[in-house]
Amino acid sequence: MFKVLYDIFSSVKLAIFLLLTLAVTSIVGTIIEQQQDPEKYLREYGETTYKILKFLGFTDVYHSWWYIALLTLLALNLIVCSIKRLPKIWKVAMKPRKTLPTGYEKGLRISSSITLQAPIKEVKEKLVETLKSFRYKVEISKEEESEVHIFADKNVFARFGVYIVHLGVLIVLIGGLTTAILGFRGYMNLAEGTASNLVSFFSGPKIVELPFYVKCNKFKIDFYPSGMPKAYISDLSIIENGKQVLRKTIEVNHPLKYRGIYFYQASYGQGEAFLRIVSPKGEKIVGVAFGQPVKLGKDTYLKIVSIDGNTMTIGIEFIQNGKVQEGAIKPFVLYKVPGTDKSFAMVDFKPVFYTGLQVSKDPGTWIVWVGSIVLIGGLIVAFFIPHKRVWARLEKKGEDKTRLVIGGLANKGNESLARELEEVLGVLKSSYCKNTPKEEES
Amino acid sequence: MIHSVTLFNAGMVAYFLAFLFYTVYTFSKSSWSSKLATFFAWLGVFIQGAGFVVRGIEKAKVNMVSDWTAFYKYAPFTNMYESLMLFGWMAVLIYLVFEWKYKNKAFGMFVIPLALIGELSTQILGFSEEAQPLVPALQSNWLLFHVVTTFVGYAAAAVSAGIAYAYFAKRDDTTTKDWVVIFLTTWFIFFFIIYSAFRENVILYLIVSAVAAALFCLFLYLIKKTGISKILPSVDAMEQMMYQSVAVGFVFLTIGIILGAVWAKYAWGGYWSWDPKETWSLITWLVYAAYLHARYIKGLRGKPLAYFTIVGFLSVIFTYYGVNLIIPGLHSYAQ
Repeated sequence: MFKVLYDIFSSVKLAIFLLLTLAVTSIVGTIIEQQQDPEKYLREYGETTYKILKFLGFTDVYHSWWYIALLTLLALNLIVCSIKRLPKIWKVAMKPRKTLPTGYEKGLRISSSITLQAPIKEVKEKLVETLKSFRYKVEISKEEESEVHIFADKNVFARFGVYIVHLGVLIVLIGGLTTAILGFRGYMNLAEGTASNLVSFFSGPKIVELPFYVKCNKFKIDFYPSGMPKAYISDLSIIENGKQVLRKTIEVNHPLKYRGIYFYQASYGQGEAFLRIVSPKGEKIVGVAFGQPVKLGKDTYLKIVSIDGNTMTIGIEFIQNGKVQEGAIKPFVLYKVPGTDKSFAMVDFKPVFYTGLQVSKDPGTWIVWVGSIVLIGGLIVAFFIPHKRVWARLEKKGEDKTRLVIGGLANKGNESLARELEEVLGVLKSSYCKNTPKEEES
Repeated sequence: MIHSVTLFNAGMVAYFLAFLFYTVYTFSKSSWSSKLATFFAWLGVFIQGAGFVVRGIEKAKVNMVSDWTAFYKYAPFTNMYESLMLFGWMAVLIYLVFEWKYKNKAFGMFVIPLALIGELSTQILGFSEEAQPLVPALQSNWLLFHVVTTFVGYAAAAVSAGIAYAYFAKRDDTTTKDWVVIFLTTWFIFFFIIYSAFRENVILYLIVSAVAAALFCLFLYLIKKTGISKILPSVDAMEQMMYQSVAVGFVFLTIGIILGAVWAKYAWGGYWSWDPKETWSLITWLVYAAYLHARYIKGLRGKPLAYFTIVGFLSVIFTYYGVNLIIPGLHSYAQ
């Protein structure tokens, strides 16, 4: 059983199957709009189709169990494949045959031979020196009176490029997982002069309370002469324990970061509501931007979302214990907040602009960046850096005569190795072939 | 000052002359036409290169920025017109590098018109050639690097697909089934490009693109039948070239996606949002990753690999045209 699974997961065919399946299923999420409200799907597709889509996970493909399962299988496949092949590649790369027995040169892609006018010892030293000058790691693998074998290689790490790429992909996947588990993305709407510590999630009714407040001191929009917006600018302060600890002006592409949480200039809107909140201890008036929650009790929040100027109806969202209730209220009427001893009324409205901030915390980002760098480095090694190996055999043909047989092999693109070997031979020829150049064809 | 559009048009004229001389060279083997072909191709690259610089200055002006670094920050690759110019320019440049490296000019006749059609399509498809100011999300130092790396990837994908089509003209065992696939894929490419630009008369576009695809198949068929395919490199060499251009494309596509993620982190609040453009670039990446693995399976060598590169290119076309023009999303400003 284990053997069968091992064989399946170590196959390249499975990798191709998984890559293509992921490619095809990813298309679904670009055709059907993802993570929308159920009402929107019902309107667009009707009830039966929506139920089928929902059941198949097509309304949130990239977080569906089967998409995550495919990614997990791909990760497993990648790990098992690497474990299976690594020892073989290690052997090929690190423990090659280092001698060049007679006739073996025929098996090499590049090989040539030449007779040089110098004693074997001198040729050996010159060859070792020349190869070293081309940054080869040189080893004399066999040394006898009449025959010397030399092995040289460079960029042996290039054999492992593919594994570096795979490692990079794994790290990126781990980063993605970290993001999914530990990160969040939400928004905050702040009218000028207001502060809040409440972040609403994009998905679902969840609201997070930050351990500090964000205040919007100023918000403005710059325009091009054509009327197209040029820049959205918010002047923000971070307030912790009643004190301002940081102040920064943010723009699109230039967020504010505090305690691992990023605040982005994401949108803007119009409308600030003023609420009168009455509790047994007294009453206060608070200003709040449309869409931004106000806390009224434990796990109890209120959002003003719209106002109809004709009927003076105010749209609200009431969020208690993770459940959203939509409703409408009238101005100046005091409403009791269920489950608390407070009441509230909307007492004023100003059509001022508010800044829309996207708030996100994502400890996975750095892992993804590390994985990306490993991935790119691995790709460059895997595609563009060849592992080059050179074998040479020196045969003594007399006191002042040596025959050199030299050949090489690269794991990609033999042209540059061929050029290098020609240069090496050129150095030897110019040193030892002064008057009688005599070359043999290989 | 000379207008950037004038320079881009002049570059197109140079490409057209290059195409003529590559064709003359292919049939006559005369050395002067070979030299003129390469000369005009390089001339076009230089003129359009200058065009991009001028364009950058023009964009800085509409963005009301006057210092010279504006060229780099307001990189002129932000709408369909500019990005198609970049695509054509990159394709010719990559081809010229291949020509220089492999000392083979047989592909000039195929690649140059491809680039030229890409650039001319801005006129046919009616993309505005005006330099527009940048919306706030695009005002970033990452813009230049993200767009350029992505487009090197796209252009390399186009080159590999071009070689894949020529590969079928070269092989002796190209069957009817292969011709059907060639027809269908090119039909899809032509239809898709026209449809994504206009989105009106589906049946008319289907017919027009079918005719274009049929002409393309006929062109390949004639190359094969008349023996012109002899001047193409050997089947093995073409497979190698296909692989090399995919390798280049894959590396640049990966870098482009990652740079996009870095930018997204600063602009959209997260490195990955499953925006249609991001998703489609991932799909393209997955297809090419599958191709790179398929090379290790004996039964998939040869023709299947050529199919893989063509499918990869279809995915690129979808990522570029389809997502820019059909599917709304965070990248919609690229329209």
